[in-house]
Amino acid sequence: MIEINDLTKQFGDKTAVSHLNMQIKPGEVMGLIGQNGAGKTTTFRMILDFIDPTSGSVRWDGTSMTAEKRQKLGFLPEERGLYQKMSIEDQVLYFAELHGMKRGDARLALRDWMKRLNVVGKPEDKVQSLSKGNAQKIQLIATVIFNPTFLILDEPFSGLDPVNTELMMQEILNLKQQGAMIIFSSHDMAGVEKLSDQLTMLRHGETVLQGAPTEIRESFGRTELYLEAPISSDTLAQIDGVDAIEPQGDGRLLHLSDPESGKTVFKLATQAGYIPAFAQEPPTLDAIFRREVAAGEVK
Amino acid sequence: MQKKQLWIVIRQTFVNRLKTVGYWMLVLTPILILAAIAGINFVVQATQNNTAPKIGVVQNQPLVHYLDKQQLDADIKGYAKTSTANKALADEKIDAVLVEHEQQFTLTKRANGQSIDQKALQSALTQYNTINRAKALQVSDDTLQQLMTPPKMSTHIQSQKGVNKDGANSNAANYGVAVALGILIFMFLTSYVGMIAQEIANEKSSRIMEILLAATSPGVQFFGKIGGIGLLALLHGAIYLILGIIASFWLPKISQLKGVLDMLQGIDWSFALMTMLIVIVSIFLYMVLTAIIAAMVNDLSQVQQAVAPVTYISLIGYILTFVLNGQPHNAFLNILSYVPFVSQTLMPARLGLQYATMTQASIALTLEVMTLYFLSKYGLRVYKRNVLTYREGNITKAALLSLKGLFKAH
Repeated sequence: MIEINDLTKQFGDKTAVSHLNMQIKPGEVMGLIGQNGAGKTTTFRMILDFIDPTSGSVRWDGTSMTAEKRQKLGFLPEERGLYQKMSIEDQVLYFAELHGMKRGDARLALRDWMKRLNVVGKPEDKVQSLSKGNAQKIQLIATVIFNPTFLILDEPFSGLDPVNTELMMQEILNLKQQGAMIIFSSHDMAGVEKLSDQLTMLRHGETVLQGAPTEIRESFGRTELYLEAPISSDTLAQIDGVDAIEPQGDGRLLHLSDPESGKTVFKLATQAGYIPAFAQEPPTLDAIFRREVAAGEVK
Repeated sequence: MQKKQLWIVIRQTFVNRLKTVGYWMLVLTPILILAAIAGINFVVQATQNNTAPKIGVVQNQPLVHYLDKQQLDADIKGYAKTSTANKALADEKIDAVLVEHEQQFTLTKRANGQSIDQKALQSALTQYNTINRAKALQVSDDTLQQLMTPPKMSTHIQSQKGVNKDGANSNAANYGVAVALGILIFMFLTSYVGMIAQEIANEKSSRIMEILLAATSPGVQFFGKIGGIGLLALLHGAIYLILGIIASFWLPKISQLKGVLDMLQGIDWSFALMTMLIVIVSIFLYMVLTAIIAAMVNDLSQVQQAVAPVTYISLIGYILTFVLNGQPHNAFLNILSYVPFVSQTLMPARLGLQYATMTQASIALTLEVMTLYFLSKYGLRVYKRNVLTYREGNITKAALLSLKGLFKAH
């Protein structure tokens, strides 16, 4: 288990991360979200022991980072790095060997991974000949080929098309099912919600939200109401608790200040009988993220 | 585990570079240049007109006989008249006309004629005059022979090791080797300093370093890179050594290179061994220094800026080697020959000239080893501090920031 206790990092008089706490259990995924400069990469660097925290600690099964533990740690940095003039096989095998894997095993595993991720190219091809998407897949393979126990992924989906994002997500879920502890950062809120068991949102180094995505969303109340019904917007606007109405697809999205007002909307909308759509949900993670960012800017 | 990882990094660095054209260019270029020079020399000599110059001597049959007996590398031909000789010269039948008038000689050469060894001719004519004057003074042949025989002189060098009977030869050989080594060491240092800087800067600027350091430690990367590039340098040296040994078997067959071999036979092997040790330690010393500086680089465009000061330092020892000869008591040079980063060329040169003893060379070697130890120890801290830090601005600023707090306990 990974335990981060009261982790703080200051660079001069600037606080990059402030009193961060979290736990990641085996088979659990932690999503780390926040704007650029919120402290995500600094958090990763402290976990990786690249930089020393100003205070607090990072423990892995009760101890700090050791050479043995590093062998079981996979890290995908935000800025991808591969040896451009080296062949795919040479560099994946090099990274795998550094993680204690035998060359022969790594060679077989590489072929399997390339097939699973639909990498266009042969293991003997040089990285510089690959497309950006394929190079990113190779980077992921190099990170996970040795079946890490703990995986740190900094923006794993950036630059990927939806098909490859889906492929990548599936592999992360596979690793989670195999019992890996995973922490990742992303700006793709749908992806974060889909993958994460827990998420932490940072704003200027401060933890502003933490918990399971559904719990976080529910904590904001069911204040988003999608409606497809023969009722005028003026009527809806007069209902207490309806803050705003905006067109969305074939219907309208109502922003409620009081979730209870949904009942009034339902009653009025169904007066004439059947309506095609009525969905009252908590705000999306994306909406919560924007709201929190905006709140930070007001401060 | 760290040892295993260290070996993986060493092997990866070594094998990767070994596969590049650049490395083999570095190894083979000096050999190809030497081969090209030898080839050109061979072709020039093969196509050279080797006919001996023809010298016409006017009205002096005894001189014709005398010069004919000397090893002048010239054909001597007698002419009865000056006009006949001049006509032969004009018709390009001979290359020069030699005329004697009251023991004064005049040599008229054809502008486009074969070259004549004038020093040898002058010496032969001097002897010819001496013999003639001696005969006029009725000096006996034996006495004349005694007068003409030059005295023998052998050189003995009194060094602190004792008397070296073949002093002059050994001295010249060792100094020659030391100067040649100076050039070779400078070439080695600049090449491998550039190589290690390129390796580290490439991994840092492409962020591969972050992946590597997630799996290993800065120490493994630092010493692994130095080990890998160090092995390449040792292989480079070994290739030259093997080629040198192979060449020594067939070089004697080439008459022009016989002199080089004769000189090399004068090498004192204890000198060679000590020089080799000093050079190997210095290569590692320079690589450690470069690795520390290269870790401050943000991108590949700063590599040259980082490597330049290291190259300048190696240049000091290289240049001073050439001014050393004839200055055994120059205190400045003597002190510098013990200073690591400079001693790798100066101390072998002093040792070669027998200005320094083996004990003094051992002190220089010990100082180098100690510096290597401390530079590695403290340098690793600076490397660790910088290798994942990307600063705006130039690397001088990074260097100053790194020095600050260098000796803080970790």
